[in-house]
Amino acid sequence: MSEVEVPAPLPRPAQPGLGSVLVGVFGGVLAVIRKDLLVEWRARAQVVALLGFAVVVLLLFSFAVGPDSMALARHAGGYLWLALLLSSTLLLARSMQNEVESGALEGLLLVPVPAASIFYGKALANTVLLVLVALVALPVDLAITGAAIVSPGVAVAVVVLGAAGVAAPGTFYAALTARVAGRQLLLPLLLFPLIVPALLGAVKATTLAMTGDPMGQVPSWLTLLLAFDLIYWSLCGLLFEKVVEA
Amino acid sequence: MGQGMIQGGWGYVIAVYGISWGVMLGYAVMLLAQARESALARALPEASAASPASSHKGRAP
Amino acid sequence: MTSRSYVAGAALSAIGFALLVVAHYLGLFVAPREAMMGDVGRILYVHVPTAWGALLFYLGAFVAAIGSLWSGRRGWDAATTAMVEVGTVMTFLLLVQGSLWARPTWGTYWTWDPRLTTSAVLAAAFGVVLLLRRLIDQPARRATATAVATIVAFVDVPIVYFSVKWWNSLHQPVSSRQTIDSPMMQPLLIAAVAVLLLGIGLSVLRWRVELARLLAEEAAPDLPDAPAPLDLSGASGAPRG
Repeated sequence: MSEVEVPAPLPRPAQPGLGSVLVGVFGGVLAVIRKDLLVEWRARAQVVALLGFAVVVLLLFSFAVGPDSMALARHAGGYLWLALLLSSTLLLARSMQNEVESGALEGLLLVPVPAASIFYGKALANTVLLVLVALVALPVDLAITGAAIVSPGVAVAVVVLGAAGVAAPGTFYAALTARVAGRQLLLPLLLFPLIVPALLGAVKATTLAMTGDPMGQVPSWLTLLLAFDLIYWSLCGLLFEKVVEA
Repeated sequence: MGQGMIQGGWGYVIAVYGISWGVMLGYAVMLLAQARESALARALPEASAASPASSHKGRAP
Repeated sequence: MTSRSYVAGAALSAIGFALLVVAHYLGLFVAPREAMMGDVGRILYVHVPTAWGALLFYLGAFVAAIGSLWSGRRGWDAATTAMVEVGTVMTFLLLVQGSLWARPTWGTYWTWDPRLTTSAVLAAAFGVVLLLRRLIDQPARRATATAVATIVAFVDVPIVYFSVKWWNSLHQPVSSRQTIDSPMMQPLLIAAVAVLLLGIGLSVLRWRVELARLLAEEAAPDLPDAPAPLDLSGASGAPRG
């Protein structure tokens, strides 16, 4: 047979236990979050432009509806979420564009962490940025429409859950369309129909946070948002590897 | 809405059936034509794909 | 020379159309008037089977998309595309039918009925998958994008339906089960089978077309890397303006 005997079992790089795998995954997620937020921080002028965009959209809504303060206050939640949604496509497209340009994504994929942790890192970073946009847009929205937040806790929960609901499929579709011609149009076209349930839940819950919730409907809307988030954060994480490999 | 049965409305029924049949038949005819075309292209592969390598570049000397 | 799938697709479609003639004849001229809707209720025999068909073919596309993603074979990719397209055609029909039914029944072409709203969202979500497919040149990437977008859109179906249902909890109950008795059931079931066969037939044909397209694309030589710059100098004399 062969003379070249494989020397007796070297101390193999032992199968990493579940614990260290988890540390690796979470470490990867954290590293990607940190990287993305750092990139945004270094290009903060763009973030400021994004915030400005959201504010301008809010202003335009109020101009389109006119000075009817009752109508404005009644639809304040809807305006807020539409402004966030329109801003989000810019944010999401840019976050993925940064990776595709200059082949940064290939480098990122070489890092020995699962592709899913890249997805979760980017999606979480986008969630943070969307929450930031919401934190700026919400006061402007309240000022313009004359609405007021009655239950701040609900508002915070809705903003976080809603931002997460936009960010997961948004990051996913941004990756899917990153190399496609016409992506500026495709991303919103893909994303907007998909997140109709999240939009409904977020707008309803935000409106209830502004008007008060005599019927106790808030929990069911938050549950809807949570369910949407859970489903799409798992599904997109599962499929992300296929998307970036292709 | 009242208790009574809705009267008439045949115009809507005809419109629905007309549009549905029209679209389905149109779609079917379109697919049949396309599928036939591709079936023909497959039946004569030599004619269409015999000299593909040269056909692209051989235009301008 | 025609292939087996061509014959099968054409035959299934023809049988579907023939059964549909029978079902619609029964529905339009034999079945009794619906108790509340009157003659307008006869839209049921085309509308409900279309709705079932649309959902069923989206389900089929979902399964094919998983197959495509898993196996990476172009047959599955073509099947996904075929069924997404057939489902989308049915969904657009569903929207038109639903609007035309809503007008005499509820006095408006559009209501935020969960079913109508869901079909609008679905038409958009799956229609974009077909658009997305057109815009990607590279076969493997296109197959992945199609499959993935189909899976993600299909998972949305129940979420959209229930969210709209809660959102618009004041909608009127649509006439349904309890009012359907056997003389109405018969044309409905025949129509459902007809739409099923028709949809399968059309999917087979569409599958064939797509597969031929994919194979032709594969057989075609790559385009030259650098286009000849001289073409732009005006010598080609393409008329402008």
